[in-house]
Amino acid sequence: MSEADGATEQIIEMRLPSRLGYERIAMDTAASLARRMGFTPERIDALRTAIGEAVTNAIEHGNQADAAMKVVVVLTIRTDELIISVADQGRKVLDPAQTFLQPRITDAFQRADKGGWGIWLIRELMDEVEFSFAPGSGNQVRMVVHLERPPVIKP
Amino acid sequence: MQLIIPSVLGYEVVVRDAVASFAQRYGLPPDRIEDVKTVLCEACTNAIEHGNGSDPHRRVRVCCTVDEQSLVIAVCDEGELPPTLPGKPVEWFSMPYPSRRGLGLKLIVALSDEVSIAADPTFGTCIRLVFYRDPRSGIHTS
Repeated sequence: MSEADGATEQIIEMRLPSRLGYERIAMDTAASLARRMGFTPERIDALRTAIGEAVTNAIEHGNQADAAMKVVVVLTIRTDELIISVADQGRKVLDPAQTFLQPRITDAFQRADKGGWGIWLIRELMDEVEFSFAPGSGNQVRMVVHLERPPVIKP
Repeated sequence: MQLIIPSVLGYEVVVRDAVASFAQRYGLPPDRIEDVKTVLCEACTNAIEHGNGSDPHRRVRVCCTVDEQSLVIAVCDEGELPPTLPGKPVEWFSMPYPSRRGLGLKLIVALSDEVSIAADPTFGTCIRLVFYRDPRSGIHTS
């Protein structure tokens, strides 16, 4: 993927309806892009999981699964990193305190749905993570993965 | 579902993979998904190179919708190309000196179940591609 006209970044935007299943398309699209950017298979798997969790949260919680509400995924491609922003329309506002919770495996056994690990997973898997809420727009999570190239070995 | 990409060659493959994932979950048969991928690459390449003149600041919008019968994909650029399409069935050897290029629109027409192009002064040139979920629905016995 070439840099045209000295541009330092390119942007792909996806708009998805808030219906479960569409997170899979976001995952496949991001993986296709990351593969062509030169990310390793391990990083691509991590990226798939993180974007899947972020879009699922946006669909189920932020937009309360109202199909008419949109989830906007913006992929910003730079030479040394990929930035993924996932935004919902904020029917339900994410409590900032929730974005720092450390889930415990013992509590998870008590829960029927085994949920509650998404945000923790995103923080574990991505290089930079930032949650924000803007009145009038919605919840947003911005995730960054750095493109690490193998070190050059000189004889 | 909507996708917006810059007019930079290479991004059409990301759109292709996104729409292939969408078509697979819609339940289109694997051989038809290959048609969708080919048609979409051609339509996006046309939009990037011809419609938008490879200007990276111009965008290509791809919009996918489904209903019970069909998958509809619209590919729109920000250019001013006149809407022209070859007729069906496609005449593959009409050119005196056949070249490897210039077959994009013919491929699009040959592989899609329905194709139409509209030129809009505000929205640019839009090509609308339809793929039937059940291929038999495209055959008319009358």
